[in-house]
Amino acid sequence: MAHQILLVDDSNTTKTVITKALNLSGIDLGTIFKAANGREGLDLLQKEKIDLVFLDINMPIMGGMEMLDEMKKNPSLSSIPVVVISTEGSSTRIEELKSKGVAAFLRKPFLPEVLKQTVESILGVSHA
Amino acid sequence: MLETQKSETEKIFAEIFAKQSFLFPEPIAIEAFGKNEKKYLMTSLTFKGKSKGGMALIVTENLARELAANTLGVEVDDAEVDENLKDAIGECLNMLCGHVLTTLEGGVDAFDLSAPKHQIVFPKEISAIIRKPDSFAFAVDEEDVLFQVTICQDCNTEKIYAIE
Repeated sequence: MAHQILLVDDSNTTKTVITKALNLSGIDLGTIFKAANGREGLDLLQKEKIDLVFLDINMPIMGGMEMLDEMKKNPSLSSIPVVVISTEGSSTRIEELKSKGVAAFLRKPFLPEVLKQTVESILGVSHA
Repeated sequence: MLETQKSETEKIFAEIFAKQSFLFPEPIAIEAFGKNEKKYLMTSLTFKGKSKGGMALIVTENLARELAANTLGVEVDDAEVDENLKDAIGECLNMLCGHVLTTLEGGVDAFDLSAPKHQIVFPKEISAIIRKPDSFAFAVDEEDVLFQVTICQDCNTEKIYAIE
């Protein structure tokens, strides 16, 4: 089954790096959707069937924490797993993310292998 | 900044450059930075949380292209580098800021970071920024780069990297 992924990050560089890492991972992927902020991300979640979200924290218009809150309020979105990707590693932020039910936290910069293992673990797939 | 914090900051800088873009910076004297007529890209951001302040990354165009190309996994003359140059440098600074703050400020409190701002500068225009107390100069592949860290309590963060 091809998995649909949503990348929500205001950095095109980060979205490009994640896309390349996913494409090299051997995981069966469908479309990789891209959004520049939480608002665009929520719009895409309403329109598309998404299996996994990669989410940045600091973004203009709507940040990652607010998008997480909006997802949790919506029963049709609340069960979609979210991997937060951030430069920050403070214990306060990590505890806050855990309390919001985030599936995983990856700190930038990360190795492609770590990204692959994280996706495989969450989606319950092994590489081709 | 204490000497141990300076040492930690240099270590973080080297680790981020190596992990993100497979570049290996070596510390050099501040006085050795900007001893040419090249243009530099100065990227800066501000932060607020337990403390506030700003950080800046000042790189030559050659190094900026190399850093962006290695991050994106393409050649330096690839169109993808032109499209993403400032964004890639901004992401690098973002990573430096996140890691330096987590390390120097105790790793407990969360910080909000601003979006990076970009300016083309000549070293003589930013001598006051270069001379700030916690500035770190490095050499990378025969290019020089400066990383500036300002952590304060009551400063006006908008003025930290203003060019006078």
